Amino acid sequence: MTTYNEIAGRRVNFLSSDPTYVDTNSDGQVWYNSSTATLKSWLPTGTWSSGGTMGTARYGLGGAGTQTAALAFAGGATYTSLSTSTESYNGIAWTALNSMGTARYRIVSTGIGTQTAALAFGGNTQVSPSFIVTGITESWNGTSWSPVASMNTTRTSFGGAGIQTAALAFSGRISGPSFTGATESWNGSAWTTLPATNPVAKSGVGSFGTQTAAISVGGSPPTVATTNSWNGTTWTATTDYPTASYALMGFGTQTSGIVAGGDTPTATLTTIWNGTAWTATSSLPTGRDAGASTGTQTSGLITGGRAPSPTGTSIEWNFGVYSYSAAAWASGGNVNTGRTYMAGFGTQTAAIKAGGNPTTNQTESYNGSAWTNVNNLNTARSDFQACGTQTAGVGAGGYLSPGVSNATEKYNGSTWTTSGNLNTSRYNAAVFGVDTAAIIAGGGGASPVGVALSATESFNGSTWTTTPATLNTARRLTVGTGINTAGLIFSGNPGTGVTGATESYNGSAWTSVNSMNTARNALGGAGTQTASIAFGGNGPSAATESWNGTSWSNLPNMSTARLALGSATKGTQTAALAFSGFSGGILTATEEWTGEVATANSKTLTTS
Amino acid sequence: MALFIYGVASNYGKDFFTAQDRQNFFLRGFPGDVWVIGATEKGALWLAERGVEKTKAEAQAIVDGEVSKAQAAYDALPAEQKTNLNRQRPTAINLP
Repeated sequence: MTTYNEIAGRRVNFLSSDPTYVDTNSDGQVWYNSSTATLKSWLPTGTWSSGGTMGTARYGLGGAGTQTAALAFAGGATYTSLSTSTESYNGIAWTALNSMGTARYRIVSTGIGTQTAALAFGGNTQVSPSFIVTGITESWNGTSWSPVASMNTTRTSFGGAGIQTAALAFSGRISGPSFTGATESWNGSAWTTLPATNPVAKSGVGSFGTQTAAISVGGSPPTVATTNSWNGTTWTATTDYPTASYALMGFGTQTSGIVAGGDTPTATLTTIWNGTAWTATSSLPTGRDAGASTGTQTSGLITGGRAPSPTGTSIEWNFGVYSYSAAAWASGGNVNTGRTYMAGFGTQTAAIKAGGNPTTNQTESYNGSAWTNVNNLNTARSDFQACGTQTAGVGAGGYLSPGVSNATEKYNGSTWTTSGNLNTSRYNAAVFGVDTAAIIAGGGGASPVGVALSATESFNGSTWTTTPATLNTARRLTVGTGINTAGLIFSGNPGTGVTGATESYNGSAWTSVNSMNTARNALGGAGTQTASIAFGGNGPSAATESWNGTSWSNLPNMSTARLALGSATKGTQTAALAFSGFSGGILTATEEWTGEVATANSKTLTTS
Repeated sequence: MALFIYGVASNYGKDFFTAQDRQNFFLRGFPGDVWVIGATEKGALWLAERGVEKTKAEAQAIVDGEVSKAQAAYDALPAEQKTNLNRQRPTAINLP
């Protein structure tokens, strides 16, 4: 009998629990789980999950790029409200960019180019009272659109493929009652009509691929399931789509594609194309057509479209062993007493809230679901800051109403104990590290009261020492994350207004790095020098951003905008906690952040 | 079709809204336990289970009342707190 080792080149492992999926080298791994008495293997599957929502809901729009670096443009909220809007996507959230020159919809839905080098061509510029189609072509350089040479055949609801410098257009509607199969190619500066025409001379043709290797699928009227393959010279009929449809959304290559949705009417069907056949796979969460579609067979994105009403939502396609749940804020247990400008430290499931405004010495402890009052601070204070863990924290400074504090207290999980004073009294500073190795930087000083400080002090567990390091941007109402030898400070109030300035600390000096997208003060944060998250702030703001060690990216907003909130600063970029604060009233609400979670899927092997 | 549903619901804490809820529909909280919810079936069910629906005008009036109270509280702050602590007077909030 042939063994699995002989077939796959690896043995069937005998394990007491499922192994960890490492990477594609794990594909094909089979193991026997002795605890559950099951023979198992990894199961690659395709899944759709929610993505970010565009600012402008629309259908008949165009797209470009990848699942984590995409572009969307044009489209219409209705046939009388056509858009020039351009938005970019970072895998989490959409950001508005410079608009196109010509408002239009019903352009090629599959991605043409990248987030920084895209092409838009053709479409409807008006439907009523006159039906007007265009061949206007615009080129996107990452910042703005520029008009380039127009198409030879003006058309709308057509197919296409390619990139900014090598694109293809085919089929479509050329007037109210007239259709074409004309094919033309773009070389980066001009369109050339090619001899071969697509036999599907219809509108709503789905498409994907490249300028020399594309697929045309479906179309209407009448609605067909026809699939044609383009080799750069000729069109050849291939396997029909499983159902007649149009306004299908496709992405990938001629031999490895995904097609989803379509108007049959608004369908959920998703299919995998392997170059010769269509195979149904996981359905769209809701029926959708006429959205922009971009990416690869293993990582794609559809945004906008009709679902069935015009939408700005995005859905992400992933094919592999991992399935993903989107990042989001969810409600946590309410604090017992709402405060503003309090200290927060610890983690999402083990946090401390201490002091705050109105001036108090109250302390509360969070266990991941509920807050409990615990022993109070020795010195009541607002605008207080602290760091560390729920059982080993340190807080220093604060505002005494009136007066500025230099008092330090350490928390051991049950009681606060006084420790060595700060050298510089301050409040609303950034504090990070642990109770035996902490850094305090910036804050509002005592002379004159409120002056934005740049001074930095280091704590060794009992004594604060002023360091030579000074912030490049003095600030108060700020946040710090990390440890005493690898820290980060972001945003704040530099004296007047707000700053988004971010600085990195290496244990001896501060270095300015890229600023936040939304400058603010009185915000919350958590994480490390290279993986932090920031949320809330003045406005009040609900904005959330993540830091990857180089730059900030937008994340989904909190449910309730708030400033002067507390945060568990020892939390992580994927598990953070925000609590209390102000939003037109003092809040008791807590929100818990969970970043995108990847889960490896396995299946049990049976003989059936 | 209206984009939003307006309602009042008291946030009872953990699981009042979940990460899945946030992915299913638009949700924003405002003063006075006012919530603005995306006008979808899931959003409407979420509010029906937790609170009562209001008209936009009714919801806005509740928010306005809360902001007025917050403004009065700010006005009553000692001058030293307004100056030293960079406290800003709460501004009007317009519901989407």
